[in-house]
Amino acid sequence: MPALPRRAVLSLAIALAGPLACLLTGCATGPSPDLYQTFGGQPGLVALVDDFMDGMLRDPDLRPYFVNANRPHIKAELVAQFCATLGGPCEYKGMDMRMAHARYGIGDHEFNALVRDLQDAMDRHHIPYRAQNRFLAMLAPYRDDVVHPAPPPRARPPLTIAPDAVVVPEAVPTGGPPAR
Amino acid sequence: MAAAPPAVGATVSRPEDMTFSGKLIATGGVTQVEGAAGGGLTPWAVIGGGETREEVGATAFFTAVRTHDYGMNAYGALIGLWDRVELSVAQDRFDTQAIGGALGLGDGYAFTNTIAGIKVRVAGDAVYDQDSWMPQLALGAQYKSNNRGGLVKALGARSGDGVDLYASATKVLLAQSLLLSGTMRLTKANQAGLLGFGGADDDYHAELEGSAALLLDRTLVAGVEYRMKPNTLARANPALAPEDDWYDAFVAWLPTRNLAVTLAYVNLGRVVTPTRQNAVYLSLQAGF
Repeated sequence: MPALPRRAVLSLAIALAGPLACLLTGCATGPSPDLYQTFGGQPGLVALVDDFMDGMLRDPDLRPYFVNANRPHIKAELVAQFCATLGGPCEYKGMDMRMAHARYGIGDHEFNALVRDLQDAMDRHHIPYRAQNRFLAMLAPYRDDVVHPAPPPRARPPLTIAPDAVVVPEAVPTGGPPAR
Repeated sequence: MAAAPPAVGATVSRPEDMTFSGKLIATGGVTQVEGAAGGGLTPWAVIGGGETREEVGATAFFTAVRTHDYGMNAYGALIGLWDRVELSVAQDRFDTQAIGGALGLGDGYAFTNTIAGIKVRVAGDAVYDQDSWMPQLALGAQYKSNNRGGLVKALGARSGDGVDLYASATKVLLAQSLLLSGTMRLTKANQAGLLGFGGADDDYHAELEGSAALLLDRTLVAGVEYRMKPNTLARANPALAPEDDWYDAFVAWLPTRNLAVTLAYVNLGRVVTPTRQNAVYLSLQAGF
């Protein structure tokens, strides 16, 4: 094979240098009104979340979590959360993520399934892949709140009775005939 | 709170049966020539297989490398346990083709290297730790045994088998759609062990390896890799050409979570003879 390639490798390295430079100067990351517009603003997010929820209901891994849930409420919360995350003019006032998920025993498998369903929905809404990744990068840290989080502070410890908590006197009538 | 989620949600029962393939696409990497999950030439800190922290996964691979003068086929399999431990086996068969005849070994004389590997993720999550600079870190070892121990020692190597030790750090910079990975390997291997271990010295050499890849879309990754190598054998035997570093440019296509096809141009530098070996590399991987 001819020795094209040191040059080809070099040009790919240069192609990689672009995003790397971005990385060092911090361009195109984090929330921005720009990214919010890429997602179509409020109408875009409402349509996206509708579709996302429909996708999760079709997903056997996730359907059990949503089929009996108050879906209009969850969708409204998701729209607000997505809008705030992307940099839109919203404030997420919903439940703390850790609190909201603690009791469901959600694992990595389910969390990844949700990410895939979200990616599928974003694909159907023609959101560019790089914008999708900017958004997912901001959502990724939520995994630690959603997957097997520490019990929320309100959770009660399991009810236990110490072995010596109740003292039974020796001469207690047992209810049966005298044992003598 | 205006409307708390209804309590009925709390009765959701999570399926108790075993689940597989929960890992996100592309996050287990492909398989490098020695059988570890990574790029094509160098291991990444990711654990192979499609599993999450609650699952086990496995992959099998076949790789063909064709240079001007040589051929190499590699195949093997790995299992990933709970996204924590990776156990791998691989066999690399290096066919000297006509060069073997020219060297008096016979046309098509082949060296076969059998490799058993282990890798343990020690910290971090390459994909999910997006709010910190912390990469995923892993430690690994590869035991390699060459079936031509007698010949490689006659060529000047000290041994027909050896162990490589490595530490890898891998980070997906998701907002930039970029993957970066670096590995430091302690090794005595000549041409990854295909020409035995040690030569002018019998010491471990610290060698750097790295990958940089762009996530082009959900199924396509393109990048470059570089792998430094010690040059021990040629210093023991001046009849052999010096050993060069390896580098490549690759495109990996992952049409589903179970399949990966990697095509690469690889420059292996000089291998035994003074000719630089430009190679075409094709690798298939299937798994769950």
